[in-house]
Amino acid sequence: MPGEAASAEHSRTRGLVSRASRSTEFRLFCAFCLLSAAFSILYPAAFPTAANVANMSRVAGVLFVVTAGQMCALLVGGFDLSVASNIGFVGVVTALGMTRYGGLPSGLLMGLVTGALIGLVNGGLIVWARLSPFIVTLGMLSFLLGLGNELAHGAPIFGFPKGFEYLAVRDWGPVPAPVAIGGIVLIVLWILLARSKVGLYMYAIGAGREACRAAGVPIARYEAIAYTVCGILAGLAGVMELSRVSVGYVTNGQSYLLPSIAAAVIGGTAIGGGAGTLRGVVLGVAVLTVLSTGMDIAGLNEFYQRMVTGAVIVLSVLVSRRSNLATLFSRPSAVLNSRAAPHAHN
Amino acid sequence: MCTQWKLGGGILTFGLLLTAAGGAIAADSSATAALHKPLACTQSPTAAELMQYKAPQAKQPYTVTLMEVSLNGYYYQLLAYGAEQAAKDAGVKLHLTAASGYTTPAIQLGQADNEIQRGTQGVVFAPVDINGSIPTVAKFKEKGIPVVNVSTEVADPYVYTVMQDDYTMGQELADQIAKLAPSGGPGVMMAGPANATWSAKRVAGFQDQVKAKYPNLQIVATPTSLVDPSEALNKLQNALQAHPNIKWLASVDYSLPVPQSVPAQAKGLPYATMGFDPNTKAAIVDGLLASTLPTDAYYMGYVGVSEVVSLLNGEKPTKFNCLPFPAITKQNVDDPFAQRQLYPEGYHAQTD
Repeated sequence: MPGEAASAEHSRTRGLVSRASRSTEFRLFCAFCLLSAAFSILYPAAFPTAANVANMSRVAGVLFVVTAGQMCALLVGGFDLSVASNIGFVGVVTALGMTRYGGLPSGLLMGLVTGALIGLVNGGLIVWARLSPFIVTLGMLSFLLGLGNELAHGAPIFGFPKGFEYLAVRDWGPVPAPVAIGGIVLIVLWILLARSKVGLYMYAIGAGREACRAAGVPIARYEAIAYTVCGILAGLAGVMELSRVSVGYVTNGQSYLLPSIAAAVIGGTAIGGGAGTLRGVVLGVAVLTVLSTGMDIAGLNEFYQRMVTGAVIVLSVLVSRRSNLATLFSRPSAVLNSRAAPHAHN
Repeated sequence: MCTQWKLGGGILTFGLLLTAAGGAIAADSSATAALHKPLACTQSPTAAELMQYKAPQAKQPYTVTLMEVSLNGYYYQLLAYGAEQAAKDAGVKLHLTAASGYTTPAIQLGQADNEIQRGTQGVVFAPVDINGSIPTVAKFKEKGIPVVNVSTEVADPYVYTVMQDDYTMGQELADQIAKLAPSGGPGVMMAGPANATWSAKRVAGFQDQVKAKYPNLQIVATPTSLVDPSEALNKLQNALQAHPNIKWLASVDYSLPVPQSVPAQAKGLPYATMGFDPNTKAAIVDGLLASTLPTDAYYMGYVGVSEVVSLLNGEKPTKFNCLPFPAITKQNVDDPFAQRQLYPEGYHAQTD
């Protein structure tokens, strides 16, 4: 009957909308749109301009690269506190390589290899020496700061070869370089996480370590790979940041640690591992970038900015955990009947 | 699910309300009267006098300690270099220790114990915090060990002091901008960390001088930033979005932002800052930076050790030395005083 068919169609649509609205990414997208609209209305001459969008995309490009790396560490149930120091240290190594050891190609190679080595050392200490990610990466954070100053003798390194500006300052055709590089990272990481055994095992290790052990998955190897990828991407962000700032200081990028974890977690990557999507990371980066840019344009005091950012991070995680929130506000019988939220992956 | 949307909506609304009220909240609500006062200097040598100054000869081969906040950065390395030169000239032995930055008074407290055990006879002390470092000074005072305070103030009358006056430097920075942008207009003043006294005082001096003498200058934004060139660049870009027609740029530190990274829309505008290192020199030579006020880290170390030696010799040096900061521009960037703001390539301070 036509009425029944229309009713069934209506129910299906409502079901789709209902399911979509329950997804973290949908909510993030709504938050992104709402924030962008609000700042555009509040600051029409400053926020919704081509120049501001270009600026935000450059910042977001670098943040995405380091956050994508952090996501890999989070997926296997860990995290990396050394990413910010990695950025500064790789910047110093790359700068030294370019100015003293063979120019642009050798500098880039030295930088990226250094980032990979840092990740490998982190991973090695965590999986084979069985040290906690907190201790290892906190130690690495301090170690890199000291070593970077030692290598640079406390002085800035500058005078980079022509062409280096194409890694962050210039555009690749119509696209800002950080966005283009971020896009390449997105594609490569998607292939790794969604279309390879490496990604499958990384998710599996985070979701159920014991089950993986029982199934014979070489946990140590894939966990080390996760941290190595994190290190490479933090190193790549370091090279990009060096290009943006044009001078090698070991303190470059110190402010990236919290945002890299925040953007990943806001985007739905689970602390504890096993869940997270690159879509979520992209949206988490976008929300954080729009929020921080808007607050800067508003001239909001730094202390209040940190308060707002902190509140957004904590409450984003709370809101995305559907069952926890339900149990917070439910009667005891509802707690007994509540189920865990399904895990998401690429 | 409804609750989650309400919560999420509530957070966003709160954040947006806060941001919309940004203008009012961004006002200098945390400023105190102390930030708007110059130091009580008993002596303010000129650059020429400082260039002539020589460390006194020590009556004995004293052991002197330089306690730094950190060795991470050109400023701290230069301070150590100046101290080492004075130690050589005076004929004393110098120990060098360093904490881990401005949030570590406990580390300096521990280092004070160690240095007392090692038999230090005098201390050149760069405190991590104006109040948090008082216990450290108390340890030396208890043993009758003279302390000369450099770099950042410590609120203890026991110490002798050799440092730059951040408030007066802020005032001079405003004078520099007035010279560089005689037609005035709107501009951005880049500040350092929001809770850093040195930065707050420089900003206070700048603001007060602009208010008192240069009504044609308008400070349209004073973004704060960690001492991180990347973050400073982001903050500046966002400030430029909000205020695209600025006519000048000032900053409390030469890396906030790095002159070479100033965005295209602000390149070519007069930019004045504070501090000096090889990259700042290159920026001045290349015309990316119009002027900078030196922070005299070399002389803080040199005069600091010299005053300790004087005290150990039984003399009474000046209680409160405020160091000069003549602007370095393209015209005088190779002058001897400007060169004193740099240490030799390859030099590297080591703790012992």
